[in-house]
Amino acid sequence: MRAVKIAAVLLATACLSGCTSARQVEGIAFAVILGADLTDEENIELTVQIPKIGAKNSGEDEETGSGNSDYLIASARGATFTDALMGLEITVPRDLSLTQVKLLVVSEELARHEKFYNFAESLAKLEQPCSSAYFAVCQGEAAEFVREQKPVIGMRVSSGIIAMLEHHHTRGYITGTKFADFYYQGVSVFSDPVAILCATTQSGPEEPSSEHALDGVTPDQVPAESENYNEYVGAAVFQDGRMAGVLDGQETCFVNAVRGATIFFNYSLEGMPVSLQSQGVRDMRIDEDENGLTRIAFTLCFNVIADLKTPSVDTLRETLRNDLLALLRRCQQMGVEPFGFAERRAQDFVSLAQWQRYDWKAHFAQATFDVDINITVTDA
Amino acid sequence: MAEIPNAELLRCTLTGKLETDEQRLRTILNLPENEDIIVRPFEAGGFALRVIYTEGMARDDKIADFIVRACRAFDAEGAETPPQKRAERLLNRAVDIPQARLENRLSALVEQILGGMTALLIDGCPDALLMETRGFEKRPVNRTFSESVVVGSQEGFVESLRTNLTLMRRYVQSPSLVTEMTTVGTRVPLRVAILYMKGVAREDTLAEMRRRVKGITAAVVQGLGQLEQLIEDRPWALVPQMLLTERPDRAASCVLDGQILVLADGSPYALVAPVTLFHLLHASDDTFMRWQYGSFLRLIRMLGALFSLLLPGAYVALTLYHPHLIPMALLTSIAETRAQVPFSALTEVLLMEFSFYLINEASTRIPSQMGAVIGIVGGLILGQAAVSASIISPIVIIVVALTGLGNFALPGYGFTVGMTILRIAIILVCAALGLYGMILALFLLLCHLCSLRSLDVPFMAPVAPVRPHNPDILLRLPVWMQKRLLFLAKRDSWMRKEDGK
Amino acid sequence: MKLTLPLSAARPLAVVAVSSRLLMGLFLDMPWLYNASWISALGGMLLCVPLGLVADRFARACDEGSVLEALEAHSGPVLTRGVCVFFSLICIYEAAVTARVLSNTVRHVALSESSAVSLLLPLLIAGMLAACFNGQAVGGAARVWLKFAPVLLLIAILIQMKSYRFEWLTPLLGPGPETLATGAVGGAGWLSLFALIWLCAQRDEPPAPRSPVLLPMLVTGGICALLLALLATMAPPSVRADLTRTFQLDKLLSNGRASLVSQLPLILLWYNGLIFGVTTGLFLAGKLMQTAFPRLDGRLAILLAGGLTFAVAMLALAEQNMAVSVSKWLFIAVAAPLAALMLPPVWKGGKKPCAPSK
Repeated sequence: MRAVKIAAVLLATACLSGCTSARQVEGIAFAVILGADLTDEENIELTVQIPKIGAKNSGEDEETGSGNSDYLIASARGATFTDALMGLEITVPRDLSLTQVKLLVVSEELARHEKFYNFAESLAKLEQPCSSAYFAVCQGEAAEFVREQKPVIGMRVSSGIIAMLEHHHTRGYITGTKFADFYYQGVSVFSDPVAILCATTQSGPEEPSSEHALDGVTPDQVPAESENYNEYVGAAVFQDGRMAGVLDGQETCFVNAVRGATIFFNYSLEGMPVSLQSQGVRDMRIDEDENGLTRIAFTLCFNVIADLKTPSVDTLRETLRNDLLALLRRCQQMGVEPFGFAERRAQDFVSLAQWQRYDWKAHFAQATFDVDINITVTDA
Repeated sequence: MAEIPNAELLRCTLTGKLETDEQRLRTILNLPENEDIIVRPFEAGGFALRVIYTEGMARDDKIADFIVRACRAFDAEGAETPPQKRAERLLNRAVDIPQARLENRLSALVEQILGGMTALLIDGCPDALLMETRGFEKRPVNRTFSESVVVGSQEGFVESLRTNLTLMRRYVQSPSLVTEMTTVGTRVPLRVAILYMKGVAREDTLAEMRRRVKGITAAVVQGLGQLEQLIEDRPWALVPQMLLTERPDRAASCVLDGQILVLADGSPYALVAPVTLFHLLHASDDTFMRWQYGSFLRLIRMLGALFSLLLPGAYVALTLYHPHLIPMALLTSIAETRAQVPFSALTEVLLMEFSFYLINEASTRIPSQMGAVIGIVGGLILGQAAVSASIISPIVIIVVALTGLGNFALPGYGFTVGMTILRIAIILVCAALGLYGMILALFLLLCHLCSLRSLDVPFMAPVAPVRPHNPDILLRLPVWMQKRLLFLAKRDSWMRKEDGK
Repeated sequence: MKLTLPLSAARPLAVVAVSSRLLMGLFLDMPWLYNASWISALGGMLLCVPLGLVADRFARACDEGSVLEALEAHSGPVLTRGVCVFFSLICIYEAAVTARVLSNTVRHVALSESSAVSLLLPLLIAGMLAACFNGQAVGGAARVWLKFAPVLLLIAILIQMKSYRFEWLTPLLGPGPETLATGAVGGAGWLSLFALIWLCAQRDEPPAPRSPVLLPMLVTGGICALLLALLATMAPPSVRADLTRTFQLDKLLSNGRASLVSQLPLILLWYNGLIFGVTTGLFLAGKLMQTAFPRLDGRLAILLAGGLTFAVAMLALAEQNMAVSVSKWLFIAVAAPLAALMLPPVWKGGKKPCAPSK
């Protein structure tokens, strides 16, 4: 009898939950890339790339390279992010889901606009969270960028994007920023958030602008061409809820290195290629001198892989040091601090209120640097 | 309630008047309608005798050689014996059957005659001789059917209680192995043996088992399956609370651990109680193999059990409610295969599950010569054709196949059927509430399992509640670490190994 | 039906239910503690030490029988039963708050379009059925769950391994000592629910020699503090964000940056913790009601508790603001009556049994 009672209760439970909305998986349109632009009328335009379910010729397309016809591109505009999203939900022929978005792309125009903060806030508070997606700022139109993002290395775009961004991050070309990192950093009171920088360019400059491969290189200035028009290199730095500036490829490598990421990158020393591997930061000290000026001292460690010829360590150290100091000064001028110094300095304070009163930004803008580069030559 | 026929007569004892006693037995045994009951009159020692036995159940040659011929050789001494002592004298001096006794109750005589023993009624004597002459046809000890193992003993119980008792004696050659015989069924008795190790099995558990067996009021008990239902703690539960095993080696291992066995005539199984959930998940070859292999296979089996219980439900929950928890590459594959299918994910899974049970049930009933047909029907028609016709998506076939494999990895057949019913319940709950429903269902199931008892022993022990145990729950660690006697055994048992004696 | 809870089953049940309530309270309901909520957990633990000591002393003095019977023998049935009714209401409220958070979680994770009724009812029905299986079953289930939970936790930690940055634990006192102190009082309130579980428990046969209250309470508090500290190392304090329960839930379950696929172990942990929390609340409420009204059938008591829990959970009473306001007084509400009932016999001292063995 008891089993009957339990069965009846479970059945009643099941009936009660009839009002829940189960959706068949093929009836959902999973966006893999979400782009956001600012229109001329200062509205938000959202563009999504959605794989077409039931399209059977993906393999053929990849082989022939005939574009991303396996994907549906849809755009909608609205005064706010929420309005634009509603528009998208109307225009997409199925139930739109942003839970599988792998890449969020925002145009530089929007990123620099005052609407950006609300946009990011809405995105973070979305009912269908997509905060594990990589976050990038596009030099140009995000809609075009989304349209041009083709499947790479013979995979679906979702896998392709992740593989490519992970590779780029390991090489130091970009920061491995996900939207959650960006947002949490943005609403904290520590260092400023950074985003991946990207652009759509059909062809870059004919010749490189510098002897260093990544020096001065931004996504629209990559001296290379391929079938893939989208390039990812560099970083967008933010301050107080909007974009404040751009870091080129080499500067991004240094930012990554100072933030403690292990990256492998090539560096050119007097025309000779050097393979560098960052090994994190050592002996960081942030204090104030007798004049009240903040002094930031640290040692940045690198491994140099001696391939064919061992470079001159002293010259390399000096060059790296000068490049790093130039970056630090540039950031001071831009008024941004993406290096994670704030977190280190905050350790000397007891409470958040004390830390906020300290006004780190002002102190960083006036700070002096005592940077040392430690280089270990290794054969592997 | 109506009494059984001739109940009054059955309560009587022998009178010593041969004609009267013979007539009473004839009445009870429905002679002459019952043509396989043989009553053979003969004379020996100067008095009349009647041999009564059941044709086919008793061996004619044994009766002729060791009873009739032996009694006739007793002629010379018979006349001097007082009539009341004739039975005893025959037992001591004439009959050549080792297992023989005096009996004067008609009910006992009838029961034993029908069981294959031979009764010898003696004129003038109020006691009859009851002699072991059983020799019916029976299946030889053979390989097990439902509990096959790769390594270990291959013998299985058979339908004969005597053979099964012999098997147990062979596996446990200890005088402490006690066999208590009794019958169950108030109208048609079934011979049942309760086996345990004296001084190892707990007295209270044993008393409880005896109480439950004695308390059975059913008219007929058809084998151990019914007996189990009559004595288990919670008959409404989906999980069996006693273990039916076909393997004498497993039964022996249980009895040595202090558990109690019940054997019954006509049942090629042993019923083991008390048991815990972990007994139902363990297989006997775990102990035969080296601990690494045994542990690995046991882990695989546990995973199989999890698959069996949860996989279809998880598939339904994830595809209907939580597609964001599925990696995108897999999700697009699922969506693409499902795009052509006309049914919802739930219908698809239920349809495939039903087909699977149908194949399973059909393959159990189908004559062995036609076994290959099931493979063809299952593999081709339901698999390939269903996918080609876009009725079922391939991923569902994988899910159901994995579930089926997981189910069959479990050692007990009854347990697998219980798991199947639970699985369907979980599929339905998942379809209604997604992962939330699945976790609620699992939570309830866990609480339910913890509330179960087997012969008053907690079913989830030694985990919940905690009892001292060997490292032999999920993994089976080396045999030298298995020092403890099972917690089901008597605390101060002579069998205990903890102190290394 | 008489509701019973053996002490051996009460321990794991208390660890699971109280730890999920403490995490829920300090992380979801008090987001303004930022990354220093672990200090509040430790503070709460310290505040609970005297209560645990008194409870342990009382338990030692009463070698046999249940604690409630011993209290009744000392303080008289009227006072004890009155306290039981009061505690029963506390349990119902806490179960309602937990149920509400669980329904929020379910909405957040998947069923965003479902009504609160359709999410709360299955939970409460399952909780009531489980409670009707009696304390041994629920406690046993908690014990089994505690075997799996560390494995899931380890998987969740390994998945997020790259996200931990210990500098985010600073500034050490986060929002400041005053705010942390209010968090500690709330934490102590939720930890003191341990004492209510112990109050409803009965001695095992044979009695276990371990400390029945203080040690498990310290262990639970310590583990929660550790987990909160670990959570704090996953993101910097979100000082400029609007910290709603949903925002915090997202942070708790996925930390944003882990892909949604890897949320599964944490979702399992969180759902189960809360389900145990609700069931424990219902069971305790039923048991305490039965103590107050001995003729009340256990099933009826649990049904009554379930109905009341549903009503409270459907009202605004179980929302974040109200739950936080109540948490400020919860410790006093639990500790004061218990101290009043237990201190006199403890002061009298002695090792004599204060409740006859039944």
